[in-house]
Amino acid sequence: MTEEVAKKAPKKKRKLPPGEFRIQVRIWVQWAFFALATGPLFIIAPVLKQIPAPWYICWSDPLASGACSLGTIQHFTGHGVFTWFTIGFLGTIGILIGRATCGWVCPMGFMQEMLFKAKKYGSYVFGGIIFVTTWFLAWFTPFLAVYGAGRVATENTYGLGMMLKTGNMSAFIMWTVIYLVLSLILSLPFFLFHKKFTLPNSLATYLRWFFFLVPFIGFVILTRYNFNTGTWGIGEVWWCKICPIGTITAGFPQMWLQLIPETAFPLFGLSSTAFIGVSSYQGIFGEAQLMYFFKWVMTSGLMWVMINSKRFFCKGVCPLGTIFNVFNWFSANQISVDQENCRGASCNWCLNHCPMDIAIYDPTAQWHCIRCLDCLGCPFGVVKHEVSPIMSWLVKQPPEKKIPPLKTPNPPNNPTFMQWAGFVDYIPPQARK
Amino acid sequence: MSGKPIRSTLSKWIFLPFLIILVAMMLFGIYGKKLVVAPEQTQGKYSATGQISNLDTANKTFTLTIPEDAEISEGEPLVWEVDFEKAKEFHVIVEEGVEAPTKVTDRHEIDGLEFEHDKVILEDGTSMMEDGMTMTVAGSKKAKKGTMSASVLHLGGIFNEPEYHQRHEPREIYKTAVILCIACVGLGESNFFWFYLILGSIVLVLLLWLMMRIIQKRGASA
Repeated sequence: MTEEVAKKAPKKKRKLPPGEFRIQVRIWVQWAFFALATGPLFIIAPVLKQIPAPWYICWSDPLASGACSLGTIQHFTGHGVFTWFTIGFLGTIGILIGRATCGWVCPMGFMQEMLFKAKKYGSYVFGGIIFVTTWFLAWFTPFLAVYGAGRVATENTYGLGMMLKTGNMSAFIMWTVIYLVLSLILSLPFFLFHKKFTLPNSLATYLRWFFFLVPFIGFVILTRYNFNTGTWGIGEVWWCKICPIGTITAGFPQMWLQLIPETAFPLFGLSSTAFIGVSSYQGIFGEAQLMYFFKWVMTSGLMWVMINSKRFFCKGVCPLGTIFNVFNWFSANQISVDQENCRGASCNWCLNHCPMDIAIYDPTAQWHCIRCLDCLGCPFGVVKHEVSPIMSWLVKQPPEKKIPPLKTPNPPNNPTFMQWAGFVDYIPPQARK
Repeated sequence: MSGKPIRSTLSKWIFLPFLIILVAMMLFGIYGKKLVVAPEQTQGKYSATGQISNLDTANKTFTLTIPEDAEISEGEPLVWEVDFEKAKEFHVIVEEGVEAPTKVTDRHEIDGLEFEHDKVILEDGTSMMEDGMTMTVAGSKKAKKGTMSASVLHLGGIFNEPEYHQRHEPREIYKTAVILCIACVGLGESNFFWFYLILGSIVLVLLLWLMMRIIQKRGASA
């Protein structure tokens, strides 16, 4: 009887709790910006690419609609020029909203979140893509064949396809085996190993500053110096040359675009530079050589890590995030925690919901917080979104939750300098056993 | 939960002086500096390819005669008096196997033939020119008089400069960058091969170390 009553009763639409609802909203916002950053707006790229974008997409991406701010900084650093506009632009965004662009806008951050949520399917899809792309490269590029024994065997021609065409069967078989091994080495981890893990905060800090200071700044300046003549010239854009996001968003698409005949799309035929930023047909097969191989291997490894760890790239590598996270400490957009009454490790709702895998009650984790606001769904209401009074009209504060305070309030946080700087892991009092 | 503020008043306003400085930086970037820094040869100036005659190396002038079958705009003269005193760059296209006058900077294939492309500082450039040679000149023009003030010269005349730029450089010039660099895609052989090798090795070692640390569960999280 009760079952029948239950069946007849109108189904109530499930109302998401405020925290979960905000997460849903954020995902839709991320979808929207994904479409804006690398989507139909590429048609007006010649206009939009005049300003640096506060997100991370290579501007050689055929569908990119904005300029890569990191590429811009690299370029001017290589020329020995300080980028007043770009640094000022990124800094202004950072000082107003901290790393919120990482959490709400950046397409690469969104891609990583989706990859992590896709669980095994994400691994299988990307394993397949890497396997197929490796074979694609084998047929059309000499990126391995021009080195070592292959140089003689192939006479610097274009990959397996040319070997087959010219009847060089011994070279064809040799490189078939080599590419098969290579593609298996690169793609098998995606199929076989699914090990979810957390990147420790301190390790992330070391990695982050290493990638920022060494390839992003140091090598660019170093390569400006000509040791033969003792003069300063134009530096190499080091980060761009190893950038995995460039490989994912520009390198692969550019390679695959080579298969499209120039006349296939009228748009591409129209001096395509003006419309899609980079030509659809540059004849770049022959250009993919050893450096591309390095990038391919590094990017494959990094993609595996991205799938198995929450926002690994954002947390431990991204130089744009490093620029923004310095401003997290001073920005007008802050997350505050009532440390005295936080349940800490006995609850960990924030840690479980955080896309960066940090516990917001750890004050030293500010370096990694992307202001996604997911943690505001704290069931005990101790996490608060605090903005400067001049921005308060933007934020609707939820009604205060009436949760009894802890009988014994937590002692105050007291991190050392190295812990505050993020180089040594800090365990807040509420997380200590 | 009491309603007491968690953050101090100072911490709520500390961003403001930073904001003022950063906005000033942006404005300085826009108004205080010239944003358009595209190299001259890519600024869409006029270019023409023809044969050199009446070369005067002392006065840095010559006459450029464009072939009659060349595609030119209506009303454009076929003979140009070129003043190349302002020339800043001088490129030489050298067929493979031919000794290049200076260090080779680029090599590419056109219609099955491989060419080497050389960039030479203009001071030595005049010695390479002679009457009858084909040359591409890029610069500003005065069409009615048929005169051109060159900023870039090409011996060999195979490319005009914008075409060269489209084929071998990253194609588009934006205000925020001199060149949209194809390095973003990671293509091409590098002059810094060993640097890449070392950096690649460091990155791989770091990743391996990271993996080991994770597998051994020695890492601590917040």
